[in-house]
Amino acid sequence: MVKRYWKRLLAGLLLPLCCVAAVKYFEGYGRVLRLGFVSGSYWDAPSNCYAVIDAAIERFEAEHPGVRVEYISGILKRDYSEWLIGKFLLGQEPDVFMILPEDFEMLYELGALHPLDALAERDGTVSPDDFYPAALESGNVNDVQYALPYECVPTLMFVNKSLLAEEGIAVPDSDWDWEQFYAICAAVTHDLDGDGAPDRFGSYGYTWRDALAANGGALFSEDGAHCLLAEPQAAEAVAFAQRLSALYQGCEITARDFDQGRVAFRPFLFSDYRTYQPYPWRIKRYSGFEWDCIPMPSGPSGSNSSELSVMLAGISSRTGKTALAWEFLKEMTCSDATQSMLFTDSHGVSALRRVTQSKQTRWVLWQDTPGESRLALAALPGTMEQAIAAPHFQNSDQANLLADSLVETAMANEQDLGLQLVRVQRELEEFLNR
Amino acid sequence: MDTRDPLAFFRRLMFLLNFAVCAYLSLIYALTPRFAVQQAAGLRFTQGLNALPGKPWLFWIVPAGVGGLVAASLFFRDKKPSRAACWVEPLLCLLVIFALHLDYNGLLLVAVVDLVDGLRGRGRTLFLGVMAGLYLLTSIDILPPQLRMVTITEYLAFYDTHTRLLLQNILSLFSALNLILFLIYMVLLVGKRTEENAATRQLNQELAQANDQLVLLNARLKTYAAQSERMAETRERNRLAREIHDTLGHTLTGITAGADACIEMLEISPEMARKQMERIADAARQGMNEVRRSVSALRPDALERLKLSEALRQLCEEMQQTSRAAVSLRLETKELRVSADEEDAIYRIVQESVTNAIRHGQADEVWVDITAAGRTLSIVVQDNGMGCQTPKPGFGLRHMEERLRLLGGTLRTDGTNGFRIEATIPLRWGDTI
Repeated sequence: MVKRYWKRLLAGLLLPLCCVAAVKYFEGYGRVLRLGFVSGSYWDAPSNCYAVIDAAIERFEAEHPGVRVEYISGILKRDYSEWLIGKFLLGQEPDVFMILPEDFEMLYELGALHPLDALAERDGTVSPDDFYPAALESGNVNDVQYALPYECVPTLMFVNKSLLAEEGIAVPDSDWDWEQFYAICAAVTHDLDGDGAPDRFGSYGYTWRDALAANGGALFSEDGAHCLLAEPQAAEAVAFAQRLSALYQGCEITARDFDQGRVAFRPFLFSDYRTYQPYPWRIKRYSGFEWDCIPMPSGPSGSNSSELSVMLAGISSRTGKTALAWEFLKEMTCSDATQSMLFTDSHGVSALRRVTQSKQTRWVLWQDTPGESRLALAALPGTMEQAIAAPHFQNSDQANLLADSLVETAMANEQDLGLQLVRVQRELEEFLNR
Repeated sequence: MDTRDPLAFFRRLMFLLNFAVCAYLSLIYALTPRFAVQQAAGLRFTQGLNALPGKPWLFWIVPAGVGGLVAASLFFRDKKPSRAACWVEPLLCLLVIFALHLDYNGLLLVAVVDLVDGLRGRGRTLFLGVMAGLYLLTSIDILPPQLRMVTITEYLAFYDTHTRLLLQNILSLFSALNLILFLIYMVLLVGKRTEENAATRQLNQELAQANDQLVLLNARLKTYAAQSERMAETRERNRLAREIHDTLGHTLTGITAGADACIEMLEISPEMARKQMERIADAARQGMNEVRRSVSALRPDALERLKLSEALRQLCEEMQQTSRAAVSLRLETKELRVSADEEDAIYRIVQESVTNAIRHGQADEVWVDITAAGRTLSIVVQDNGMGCQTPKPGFGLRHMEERLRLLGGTLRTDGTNGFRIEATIPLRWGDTI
């Protein structure tokens, strides 16, 4: 009898103790939010990335007392994919993490990303209209939002103003088109030293993909089931790229040519513009000539759009702290404070319309940039609006690689381009429907 | 459980093998991502996957599930196979199979092996049907990608060709072995069942044969009973005859002898004759009573009323009075406690012998001597009559012999010097002298 009494007493004491221990343990567990963070800029622009994230964390921790956000610093862009996937494989993935553009599709296919629509709907403070469509689209698959844009960088057209001035050509307007582009390139490309080969060129690095984006075309359908290369818009774009490269008579144009001011146009990342325009980087590169950036030229069926490169942020599908993770994701991607710091401490662009178009942002950018090179700043909102996102589907990386090589071959071939594109399209469709 | 039972042996072997397979698969599942991360080949590994591998702690479900299966098997084996076992074991199997990403469904065979023996009839059909359905369902290759499960093939794709083939072959070997064990078990089970059925059939046949024989024996027994009844009837008739002879014969002998004496006396002394006549009438009346008694109970009247010793004494006195012979009785013990049939026999033997001595031997002196030695009672009746060299076995002697034979006793006669009858009766347990 006494023995049983003791047993009951012991059980009565142990059970609450265990409960308390479990609650304490999981409380601690639930109060630490892990963050996967890339050091440095994805676009290789010098940036003070920790300042942005540390400030975001500080604000978040102040708003959520008792919660701690942890991240491992120093993971470089080139190691980040491997690091993140390794953490996932070991089951130690962060709750919130940055997603490199090339990793998004893989993470989505692995089911590593938490769908955000329900969270946003419940939250009520985040609207899709807050973001530039292309930026949001980058984190969207089949109309489900899996990631939100943290930072993006549009592509602009670098213009060598000195070279154009030397040739007596005015800098084109922001709404220029292919024909103007081609005409200037044709006018600029010629032989200076008389060796028979041109040594001044119209453009460098402008590919059929840039043309495709500007002509409103797409390589693949949204679901990745079809290739649209033989569609008129795409065919026009490839034909234009072929026509443009024919100008240079097979000359190999190098980055050196460009750096030395012998090329008029080059597709240029906005982050590079932001890096090299202000002092002190301004005098390290492209110091021998005046330059600025303008939107890409539009094709006959398209607009002045270009592909947007977006660094995304998402929530792990296996996190046990979805609500907290969502709050932090919001702090990273939807908070004016964090996003406006991208303009002061990084070189990207915020995907939030209200931040990018705010007076404060404009003031910051204006301050940084010399007076004669502010065309890009004026064109920025328009460029962001018109930008397009690359579709995500299974094996899109490989399909893109294959498309690049096949189209390059077709362009180099002298046979009828239309027929060849039909053939390439067939090959790509075979690959897609494998 | 009998360790020499081949069914139990194969069942255990299957459990062991499946434990090994599950451990093997769990190890591959748990270690491959770890290797991939260690070799900084996580991206290469995940490129071949259609989903994220489960968190490492999920694989503890496998040993827990298999352990649960073994525990359930042991728990239910000791008891009668119940409906709960048919639910619990397949469910645990499914749990483990799902934890192993549907890559190995041999566990279902283990559940079948473990449970099929205890099921009968419709339950067994239903169980086997459901298990077959589950086996087929879990064999469908299209299911894991739909359920976002990483298959073993995807895991193995990480390794180089040599290792991959090795690991794959080990798994195939395990699966094949499991199937073989399952088949062996089933063949053994069917064999055992067939043997049991054959044995049952043989037993039934033997039972039918025994039944037939029993019917035959029964008929024979009825015949025996009828015969025995007839024999009992005969014996009873003989006994009645003997009884009549003993009682009536004895009385009539006395009356005849008394009447003869009376005739002789009538002339000499009518008074004596009258007395003799009275005695004869008494004897006749007593004889009458005795006959009445015998008819109702077939027992000597004297014995009904008196103890054996007194009855004998009265017998001798009466004999002496009704005849001229002197009858002397010597009883070694006063109290003779023997059973009723023995009393009857003693009484009748003495009565018959004395009657014979007077009637046939014309003796005027008769000695009756009853002694007991050990567990044998002996009766000696000696007279001084004419004796008889070859006594004709009349009713009296034969009846005496029959009575004695029924009791296991013996009879000896000697007619050389007077007539001597020696009868011995072995006493039964419980008899005291």
